[in-house]
Amino acid sequence: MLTENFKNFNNLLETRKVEQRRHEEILLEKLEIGGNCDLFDGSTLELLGKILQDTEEKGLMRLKVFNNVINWIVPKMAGVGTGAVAMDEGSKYAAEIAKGYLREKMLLEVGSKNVPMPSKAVETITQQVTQTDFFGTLRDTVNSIANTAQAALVHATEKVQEGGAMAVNYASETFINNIAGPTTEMLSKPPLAVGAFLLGAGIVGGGLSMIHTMRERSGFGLIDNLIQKSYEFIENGKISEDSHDPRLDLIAYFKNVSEDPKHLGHKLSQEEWLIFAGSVRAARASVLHDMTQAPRIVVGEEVKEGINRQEKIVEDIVSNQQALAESDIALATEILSQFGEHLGKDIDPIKQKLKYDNNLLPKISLYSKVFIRGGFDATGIPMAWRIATFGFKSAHKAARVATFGAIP
Amino acid sequence: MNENKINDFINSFSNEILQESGVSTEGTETSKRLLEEVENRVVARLFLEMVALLTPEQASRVTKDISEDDTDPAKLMESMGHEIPEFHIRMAKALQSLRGELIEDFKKLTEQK
Repeated sequence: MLTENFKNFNNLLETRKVEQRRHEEILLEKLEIGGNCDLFDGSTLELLGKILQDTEEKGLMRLKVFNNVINWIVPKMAGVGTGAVAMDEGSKYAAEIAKGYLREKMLLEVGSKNVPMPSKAVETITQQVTQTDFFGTLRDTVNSIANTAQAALVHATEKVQEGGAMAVNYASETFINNIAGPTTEMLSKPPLAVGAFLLGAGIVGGGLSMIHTMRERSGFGLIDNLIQKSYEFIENGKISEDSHDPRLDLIAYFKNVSEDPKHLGHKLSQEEWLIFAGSVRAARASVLHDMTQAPRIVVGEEVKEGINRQEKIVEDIVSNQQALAESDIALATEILSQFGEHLGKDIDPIKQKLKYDNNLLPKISLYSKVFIRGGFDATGIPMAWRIATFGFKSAHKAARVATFGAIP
Repeated sequence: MNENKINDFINSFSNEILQESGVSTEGTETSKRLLEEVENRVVARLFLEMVALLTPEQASRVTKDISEDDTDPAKLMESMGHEIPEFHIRMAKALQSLRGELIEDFKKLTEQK
């Protein structure tokens, strides 16, 4: 899978041949002026290509601890179908809440009745829940296991200075030892499904907590902070006119990291690099989106009069455009008249009615093309159009083959 | 985008319209002339589509800048494009609409003949 991804990135690099940008000023200038900056530029693709090729284990994001814990729990669930299903549903429930949430926010949110539970879990659990404060218990369970996971990892990395596999194993052991008692208790309590559901949600909470700690320990903490601020900005918009734009901070920092041969000392896992690059992409998209918004214009009375005059001009243009639609048909007729011999019809009478001045066309073409070139520079449409056309033709060909067989 | 690229795009776009209409554009002088006419038509329409998207203030600025200053129309139009919400989507729709319209007209006229 990774090899395949790397091949894809290499292909992209080879085919795009994007000019390397050496300074963040150039990037920002491109964002501000060009407005059509690639969301993943050349340096990003190159960096991701290298990261995906690198098989050396960096960071602790591989969730080995989490896997170890799951491997420990699963045998205990063997033969207990309802419990296993409920635990799985509990995991999904917590994971669903975690989507798009910061870790702290997620832990606060778990147990909220506003977050819908998975349908299967609802079927399984609601029949058995007799406790009036089920959601409160759920929140307490998740927080408890999350804190245990975080503490286990902190303890492990402090004890095993070098980190890596030894710390992972030690953290797994510490984590398991700490939740062994509560887990056994939950799985032995009737109704089993409720306990298993709580446990599943708790394990996911623990995993998130551990990821949070791992990021800080692997040097992802600073980046994570930039990412979170950028996402908050994208989600909530600008707080005040003079506030800083954290999206640009994130973009600029990524530029520095990706261009430094040692990546400014960051030793991130592949997943973390992808999160980093993906967040930068979101920030760029957001900046570009803002830059294509029409500016708010405060219009005074004097300006309004000018606008009203201009509106008349625009109305005329629109009116001309409608007339132009008719002339399109007329011109199409005239164009087809050049096929007179092939069509075998005399369409001179039609041409007489058109009264179209062909001498205007070169001038229209010359001046209009200059404007169109500028307009298209703001859209990137020609490339998109060709891609879309290629897709349409491919689909059309596939449909023909499917309907009539192979095309000779 | 340089002049050649925009010419290539318009040429390709016009060619596809003619092919879709069932009209060959290869070989003869007549067919070359036909392609040229379609290209002129596409250019004229696209120009008007772009102008129609301008706000009154922008239309005023275009008129003023072009008439009074030594302004590059391409740069001016590019900057206008960035100010118009969803400009690229609108232009893509205009292209799609123009394509469909021309093909339909060509086919209709061909059938009439």
